[in-house]
Formats: sequence, structure tokens, C-alpha cells
Amino acid sequence: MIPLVFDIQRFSIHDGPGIRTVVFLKGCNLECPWCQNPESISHKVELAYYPDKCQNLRDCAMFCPHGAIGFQPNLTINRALCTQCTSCSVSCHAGAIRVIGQHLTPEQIMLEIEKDKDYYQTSGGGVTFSGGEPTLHFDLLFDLLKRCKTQNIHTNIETNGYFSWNQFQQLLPYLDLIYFDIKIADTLLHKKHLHAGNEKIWENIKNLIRANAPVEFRMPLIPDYTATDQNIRSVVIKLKEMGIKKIHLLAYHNMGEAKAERIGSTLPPLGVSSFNNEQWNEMLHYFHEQELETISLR
Amino acid sequence: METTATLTEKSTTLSRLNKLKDDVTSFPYSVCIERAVRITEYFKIKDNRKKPIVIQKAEALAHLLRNKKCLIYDHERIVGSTTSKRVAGPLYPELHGLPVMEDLLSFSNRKLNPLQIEKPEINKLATYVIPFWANKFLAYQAFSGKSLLRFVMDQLSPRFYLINETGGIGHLIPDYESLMQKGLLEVIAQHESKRDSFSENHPSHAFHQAVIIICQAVIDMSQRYAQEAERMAVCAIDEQRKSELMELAGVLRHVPAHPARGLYDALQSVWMLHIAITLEGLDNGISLGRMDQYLFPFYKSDVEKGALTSEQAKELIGCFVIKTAEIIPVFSNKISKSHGGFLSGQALTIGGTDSNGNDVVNDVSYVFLELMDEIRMRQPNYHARIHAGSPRKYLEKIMGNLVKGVNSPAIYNDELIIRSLERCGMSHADAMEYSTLGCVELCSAGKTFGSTDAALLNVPICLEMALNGGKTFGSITRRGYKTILPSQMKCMEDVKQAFVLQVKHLVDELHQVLAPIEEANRDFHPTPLTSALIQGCIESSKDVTAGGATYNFSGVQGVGITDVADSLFAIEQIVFVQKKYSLTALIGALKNNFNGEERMRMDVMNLPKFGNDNVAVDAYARWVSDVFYDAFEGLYNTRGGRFVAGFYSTTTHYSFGLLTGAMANGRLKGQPFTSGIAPTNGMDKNGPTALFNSIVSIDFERAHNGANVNAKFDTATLRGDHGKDILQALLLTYFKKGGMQVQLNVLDTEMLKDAKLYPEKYPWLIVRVSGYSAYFNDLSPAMKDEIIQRSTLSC
Repeated sequence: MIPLVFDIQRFSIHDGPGIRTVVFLKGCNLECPWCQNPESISHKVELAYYPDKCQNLRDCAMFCPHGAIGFQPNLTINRALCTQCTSCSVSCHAGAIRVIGQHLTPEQIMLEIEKDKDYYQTSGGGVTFSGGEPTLHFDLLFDLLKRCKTQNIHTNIETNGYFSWNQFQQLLPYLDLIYFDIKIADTLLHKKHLHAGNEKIWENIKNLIRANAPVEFRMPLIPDYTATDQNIRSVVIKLKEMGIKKIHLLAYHNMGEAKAERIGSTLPPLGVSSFNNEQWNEMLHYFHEQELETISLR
Repeated sequence: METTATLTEKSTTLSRLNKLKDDVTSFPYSVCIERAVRITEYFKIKDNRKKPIVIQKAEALAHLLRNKKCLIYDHERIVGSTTSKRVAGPLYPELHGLPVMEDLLSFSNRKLNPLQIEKPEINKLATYVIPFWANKFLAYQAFSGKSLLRFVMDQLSPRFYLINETGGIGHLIPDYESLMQKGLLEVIAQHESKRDSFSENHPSHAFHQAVIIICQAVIDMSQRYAQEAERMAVCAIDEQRKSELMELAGVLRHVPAHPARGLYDALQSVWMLHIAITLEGLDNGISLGRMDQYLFPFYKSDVEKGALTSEQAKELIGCFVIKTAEIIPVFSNKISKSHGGFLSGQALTIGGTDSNGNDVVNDVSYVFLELMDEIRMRQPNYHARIHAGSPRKYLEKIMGNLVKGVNSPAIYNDELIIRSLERCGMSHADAMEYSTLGCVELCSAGKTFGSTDAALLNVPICLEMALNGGKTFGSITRRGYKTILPSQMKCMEDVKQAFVLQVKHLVDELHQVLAPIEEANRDFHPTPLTSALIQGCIESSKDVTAGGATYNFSGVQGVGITDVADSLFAIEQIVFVQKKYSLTALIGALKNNFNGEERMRMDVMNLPKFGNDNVAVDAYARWVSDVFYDAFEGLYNTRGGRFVAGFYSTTTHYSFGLLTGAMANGRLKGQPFTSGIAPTNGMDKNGPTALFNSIVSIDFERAHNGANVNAKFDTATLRGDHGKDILQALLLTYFKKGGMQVQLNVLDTEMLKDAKLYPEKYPWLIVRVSGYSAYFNDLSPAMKDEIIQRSTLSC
């Protein structure tokens, strides 16, 4: 499995302290139905179609060797026939079909990261590895983290916690910060929604705390899924048991749905709306009552 | 108890300032004919016209100052105005002449920047003023015959360059600091003794005499304002207002004749000179200089003595800054396209260092930082100097203003600017104490006659001519240099070489066209009042227009630099690297405005563009800007000063764009260029760090005349203390890497869209256009779209 990068986002200011560059690695081992980056799930290259850019020149259909592109009357990519050969994208003058997922060497990635080194230093920022689930690409990640530390660049990782502790332990000396997601407390519900149990995740939390790792926890508040009264209560109980005092709360927005449509994702639309101010503040209030410090990200 | 007292005091301060602001903002922009009529009256007398020109100029302005209406408005504490209406522009028939008068009748009806004028006023102009000046205005005197015709035709709708010197040269900062210390009587005395060292028919005798005449007239005007204040005090019913008016009269009796005794004197003295100098010439960039520095000694001693509380002092300063918004320029329809939104460049500088490099931020700097947030008007242009030793509190306050969406101040990088100014001949000490001027320009206050806004040059049209043997697309005659035809161009170097020759040719032409205008300014429009307040003139016994100032420059702006960089990169890629299209095919498509060549256009549009930290594109931006700088090397104006280059565009990126053909970056014929030194709209997609990295690829140390970088953020990105810290780190790093200047628009796109649909909801909305702020509602629909479209730099 060749690790693919699907985006490198500069001037990110909500993925750790200061001004940061976020390196998004493709591929995930969970399948959250609310995923904001549906293009991050698959390990393979994907093709995204941007209808607003399309000039209807139909070069793509002409160049596609598999006949995967049709017009009925709007352009559709038959994902079953598509082999991700990218001929359509190359032939498109309008830039309406884009390749998602690029194989970059560690040197190439570092070159991008280093461009904003001066900004990291003045702002207390650095680099954040995100995904997908970045720990799936252990070798690359290990290599990049080491390179960053030799350059004295602050490092952060955004993980879903579903990793092998033996491997992750090796990354610890090179990590200045770990953003660890907490989603659903109940194991059965977790399995139901995310297609995997959460025992490993809670085990890893314990491991990290025991190792005194610089970890901070983040909880996406998704209506009907994670933001149910029952789940919030259970999560809070677990956090308190472990002596965790602070949690980042991430609001749901449905921007991922437009992205899902572009790549022809099988992820169905979630059909929930985001919280209004009142609802949000009510939830915040509950966390505060329970003596948890919150960092709210909307 | 004490807290309550301060609070009440604070609220009265704000309420006076709010009332003044309301009165000024609710007054419709108007035209005032008072200046035009008085000046014409003077010149109509034949005997007057026999006197030396500098005397004529002094006496004509003196005639205006002695006869102008002295109006004092409700709640005002600082008084004096350039016109007989609250917010109005005076007319300068002897300078702008017919070009502005051409659409006299439509001033009030025009859609863009309408101006109120009464019927009888129009009649007076049509029967009395215009006939007299029709063949006497400045450009008319600078050129004759065919070259006049060509000049007028060219400048009615500027395509290659826009010349701003035909309205006189008014981009300067008078020596207000010395004025407050000396008073005009002292200035007069100095010129008297200097005058007496020359024989009566020596030109320098006339020069010093002219300075004396006009300084005396300013003193007399102040006395007339004093009289009016006294008259109004007698009539005033309200006791508080009565005593205010009496205090004001006392101030006006004392300054500007004498040195200022305190803050009130200082402000009123500066203002009286400011309006008089504004009335002397048309070109509107009379700037205020480092006001926090020259006001501070007065502020400090008044507050320490207990003569003023800090709130009272702030109110007085507030009264002053509101006055600057009363000044508007009168432009013709056509010029409004180039200088949209009532461009006015009264720059006010805060912060920075003394000549030894010590930080000089003081209480008055903070007063200004508060006022720009609390008052939020179109003028003045607030500029903050920043250097390595700027205090933390000062930076925090600046960032606080910016994240709140105040959009002021614009910030300037001391370290780089000081090096730049030294490189173009300024002494180290003067460079350390530089001021900003006009939109984004730089000078040594009170010592420089810089003509920083001499002209703006259309750089993309040089590329157009380079790709067409020296002709613009579709033209039969050759305007540019005869460079080789595209069919003979074998490599990228050939294209670049042709471009260099076209730039040099057009710059040389501009240099030649400007010389007679400079001489016409010297021969027909000397400015003795300005000369009284620019150092060097008394020593050299020469007017500023004759080269009397300590420092002399002419500043020319390069417009469309990044459009050219993107286009050159595109040519290199698709013609010489990818070999996808031949050069002639590309140029054919450009001439045809890409008609039938949509695929080619998309190909070039999808290439990397300036502003994304792409090394190859950025190298072109560096190269194009270097070509522009090089073209001015060794060129001097008739005052003996160097030509210096800068990058701001006011709104000429729009007007020049209208008249320039399609470009290899995919820009269609007639579309606007980029503003200042920014990337093409919407093309910077990698965020502000990438944008700034691209921008610093340009060598700003050679942009001696200044440069304008606009960065737009949405309010959401920079929320709260976190946003403030991020912004500060971002901007300081950008400076460390070689940035010169930056101004921010912090607003959300939705709000702007809404403001376009419902202008009545947003009378207060101010945006940075290009080196200056304008009310959003004053901009043309196309400019509004551009502001909306300007890429949001959030992630």
C-alpha cells in the first residue's frame, strides 16, 4: 500500500497551536457516517468531478479507455468501470475532474512543510499529520516526524485512536502533541455506526495517559450519533474516571456531503442539521457543570 | 465617584464626536465654486498678470483666503474648511481646466460618485470661469499644438500611463512640526531677511516676497475665523458653547501666527495650514506626517499641567481627524474611473523610531488607535510603522483593530523601508524618521517634494506591444518600440527581451512627457505656501516646483506587474516547455480575445499563478518588477530628483484594464488587472503564508515609492484573542521575510454581497481599495464585484 497525500493545507489555525501546515494522508480504518473528509477514507486514488467547472467539452469521455464516462445529460463517472487511470483528468482543459491522492516522497512533503517554517516559529505553530488515519502509514509518518524534529518543527497528529500501541509508542519521542478523537462510549453503538469496536481506543487512551504523553481529546458533536444525552453522559463519566480535565468539542457541519457527491462516495448523506447557538451552549453548559474545561470549535 | 465622573466625561466626548461625524457623513458630497470664482477674479485683472508668476500665485490664493466664507459648524472645536459647504471639493480651473469641467452639468446626475451643485453655480462657472481658463490651464501651457492635442486625448482616457502632475504637485507633507514651534510670523521674518539679500528684480526676491504674502494671508484668515467665533459667542444661548467659542477665538487669534502654546493651538494651527495648502494645488495627497510625534509634547504638558484631561485631549484630536473627512476631490467621470471612491490621501503616520532607532510610540499613538476604531471614517489614511522594537501593547492594539474589522491602520515595515530610503539617497537620520504619504508612499516629512503620484504606468500593455512588434493589438500604427515580430522569436529570452525594450521605451516616453509638465508647474504654478513649509526652499531661495526642497523625487507606479508575471510564465510553459501551442497561435488567440480558443484559455488559466508560493511564477514577478525598476535607473526630473518606482494602482488597474487586450494568463480583453501587487483575483489558493511568500519574492527595497499589498480575511478566521495572536505572528513574519506594507480587509463575503444589494443598509461600510479607504457605496458596481471577489484568505 503506497501512502497517498490528498491535501497539504497551509495556514491552518485550528489544528493545534499557532500557524500550522496540515498533511492529510489518505486511507482510514474507521468509517464514521458523518465523515467530513469522505475523500480521506479510501486508500486508493479517487477522481472528483466539479460540475461548476465543467465546460461540457467532453474531452474526458473521448480519452477514457474504459468508457466510464457518460452524459445523461450531465456528466457521470461510472465508478465500477473506472480504474483511476486519470486520463479524463489529464484531458480536461477546464480542470473539472481532479485526481485526489498523490504519491509524494518524504522529501517532497518536507519541502512543502518547510515553506512556512518561519511562520511556525513566530506563531508557535508547526505541522499536523491528519487523515484519514495517519498512523496507518507508520513508516512514512515515522520518517516525517523524525525529519521534522531534526528541524525543530513542532509536531501534532490527529488520530482516531484506532492504532496498535506497539507501533504508536515508537512515534512518541517525536510527537509534541496528540489530538485524540473520542466518539461513542458504548461499544455496541460504536460497532454499529463505525463498523469497529472501541475497546482498543479506550485502551490506547489509558496507555497514553500512563505514558504521560502530550495528549488532548476531541469529541465531534454529531446530532443523533455522538451528541445524544446518553452518549455525552457516558463519555463524561469515562473522561472523569481517567482524570481527563479538558476536551475540545467539534461542531458538525455538512460540508463533507458536497465532497462525497463529487467523488461518488457510497457514504449516504447523514440528514442531520447543525446545532444552533442555544443547543450548542446547552451542551457546553453540561460539560462545564461536570467540571470539564472545553475548547469549542464551530 | 471618580469612575462615574470619567464615564460621563467619556460619553460626552463620544457624543460630540458622534454628532460631528453624523453631520459630516450625512452631508451630500458637493462641488463648491468659491475657489474657482475668487481665483478667476484675481487673474481677470490685467495688471495682476504682469507681476512675477510666483507673486500672482501668492496674491491669488491670498485673495481667496481673505474673501472666503468663514464657517464654524455646530459642536466644532477645530475649525476651517476648504469650501463654503460642509463636505465639498473646490475647483481648480487654472490647473485641471476643461477636463474636469467637461461633465459639469452631469455632476449631480452621474451614477458614480455623484456631486451636488446648484444651477446658479453652474451658470457662474459657464459664463465667468470656464471662458477665461479655456486656453490658459496648466496642461495647455505645458504643451502646444499637436503635442497638446495628443496629451489631452491621451489623458482623457489614459491607456499607457496616467499623469497626475497637471493639477499641480501636492503629494507632500508640510513641515507642520516646525510650524507649531515657530509660528508663521517667524517664517515671515526669516523670509524677509532672506528677501532683502536679493535685489528687487531678482527672481528669488519675488519668491521670498510671495511666501511672505501668502503666510500673512493665512494669518489673516485665522483672524477672520476668530472674529466669526467671537460673533457667534455673543449670539450663543448655551453657556457652554459660548465659552467654547471664546476659547476657540483665543486660539485662532494666536495661531498659526505664533508658536503653539498647547495641544489645542497645535491642532488648530496645523488645520489652518492644511486647508490653505489644499487650496493651493489640486493634487490631493497633502499628508499629516507623524502626528503622534509632533503632538505629543503638547499633549503631555497639557495633561501634566492639568490644562486638559486625557479625555478632553482625545476629543480635540477627534475633532481634528473628523475635519479631514470634509475634504473631497472633484474628478471628472473619466478620472473617477481611475481614482474611484473619492480618493484622497491624507496619510497620518504613527509609531516608528527616532533618528537613533529608539521606539517612539507614545500616548498619542494610542489615542489615534482608539479613534480609528471609534470614529471609522473615510479619512485620514492611518498608517502604523512597525519595527523589531515596537512595544507589545502597540502591536496588540493594532491587531485588535484589524481583527475587529476596523481595517485601519495599514502597517509598514520600518527595517526594510529605512534601507530602501537610504538606497535612494536619503540620510540615515531622515530615513529613520520617515513618514508615510498619500496612499502608501514614503518620504521625509517637511523636507521632501516627492511628487510621489507623478504617474501610473500600464505595464501589461508593454507586453501586448512586445508580442506585436511594438503595436497594440488591432492597431495599424506603432506606438511602442520596434521589437522583433513574434514569428522571429525563437525562445523565451526573445519574448523577455522585447518586453524589456517596450517597458524602457514607454518609461522614456513618460519621462519626456513629464518634463514639460514639471516645467509648466515651475513656470506657471509655483506654490509659495507649500514652499514656506518645505525645508530647503528658504536656504536655496527657490520654490519647491523649481527644485528648492531638500529631497526631490518623482514617483511612478507600475500597474499590472503580476498579470505580466503570470502571462510570461504561461507563455514559457505552453509555448516553450510543453510546446502545446506555437507563439503565433497564442498571440492570434490573444488578438481574438480567445474566441474559438476556449481550450487554450482554460489551459493557461489552470497554470500556477502568482500568490501561491510557486517558485517559477514568483521568479517572473521578481523579474518583471526588476525590469520596471531598471527602466527608471538614471532618470531624473527637472528638479534634479530621481525617478523612483512604486506599486499601487488606486483604481487604474480597472481603467487601464478596460483598454488593454487579452493576456496569456487567460485574462480577457477589458477585464481589470490585479490591484497593487496582489495575485489575480481568486487565484491565491494556498492561504496567506503562501501569498506572503510569493509577495516577498519581489525586491521591495527598490520600491522606493512604496507598494500596496491587500490581504483580505473573513471575520470568522480571525476571531478573538487567538485570531489576534495568529495575525500578529503572520504579519511580523511577512515583514521579517522582506514585506514592505500590508493592509487588511477583515469582513465576510456575505456581508459584502448584501451591501451590494442593499447599499442603504451599509452607509458605514469602508473597504480598503488600494492604498486608501473608500465607502463601499461609493465604488462602481465593477469595483464592488472586485472587492467581493478578492479571494478570502481563510483556510
